[in-house]
Amino acid sequence: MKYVIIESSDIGSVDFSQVLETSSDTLRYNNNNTKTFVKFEGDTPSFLDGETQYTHSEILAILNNENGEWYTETTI
Amino acid sequence: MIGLGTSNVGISAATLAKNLGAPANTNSYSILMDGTNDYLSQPDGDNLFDTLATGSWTLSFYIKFVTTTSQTIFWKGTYPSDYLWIYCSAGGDLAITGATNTSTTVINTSFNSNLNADTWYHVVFVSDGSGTNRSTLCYVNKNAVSTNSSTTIASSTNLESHTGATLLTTSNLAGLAYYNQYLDQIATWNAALSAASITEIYDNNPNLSSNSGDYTDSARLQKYLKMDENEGTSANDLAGNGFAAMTLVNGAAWSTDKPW
Repeated sequence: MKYVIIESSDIGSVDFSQVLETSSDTLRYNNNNTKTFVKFEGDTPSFLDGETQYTHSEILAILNNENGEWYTETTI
Repeated sequence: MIGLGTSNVGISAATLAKNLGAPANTNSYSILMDGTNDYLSQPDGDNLFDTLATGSWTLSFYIKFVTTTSQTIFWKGTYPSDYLWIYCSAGGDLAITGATNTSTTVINTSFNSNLNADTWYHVVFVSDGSGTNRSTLCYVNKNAVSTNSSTTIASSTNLESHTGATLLTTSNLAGLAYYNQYLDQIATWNAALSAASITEIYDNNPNLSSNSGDYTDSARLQKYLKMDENEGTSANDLAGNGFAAMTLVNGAAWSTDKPW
């Protein structure tokens, strides 16, 4: 599985048949809603060519960084 | 005449039935949420918590936390005023809590379950609403777990007046949060299952749609999601009560990692 962070303004270019996200309505955004991300398996969808790709552990480190722009309190 | 054979002496009725040719229950897959943005969802009116509103009920599921036990399992509603929430703490303690009608607590019980990450557990919550006040128990791998804390609530209180979908493996305390976990074999009943019935389920994994051995509650089965489809984005409800399937959102994935 690979993960790619994209600008929210680029959501219109996402072909949801080539990523695992259900739709634009279910995307997860950063805390100021300027970025989101998509994930895929296999070949890189053409609309993501040239974008930085992250592994599962790498994207989790980004999302769970307490000082980062994606962090949501999850500790119970 | 059918001979039982010496190999069948002293085994449970369910195992005996299997050995004598009754259809064996199977479990081939679970569902994995990767902790980034995926979750499971059921629409309002058809969801898991709708069967946990009033009266006596039982909720059973298998779970395996990845990395940490500090995770939401089931969520519905809007925090803090109107919600129902089942979660596990960082210390591995399971809890069920909720509020409705301007933050009035309707249930708040924590159990000394001491779960660990990277281990499958069979978890059963049993809520007996037959008396004046509701009594909620928790079983882990067929063993009753002691209570850490509990709020007394009248059995007549409706635990589930919330609107919106039930979400699994995500919560909305202060923005949506996502968790890395496996879920499998979720079921609810509109009855308080006995310890013997829970033991039968854990020991022999019967098909919950049929009585088997000490499991005699199939007629009270409300929801039954075996999560064995291994294709598509729907986990179907097999209880036969007409409830909608659970939807796998944002890549929640079928997995061969399973409890049994």
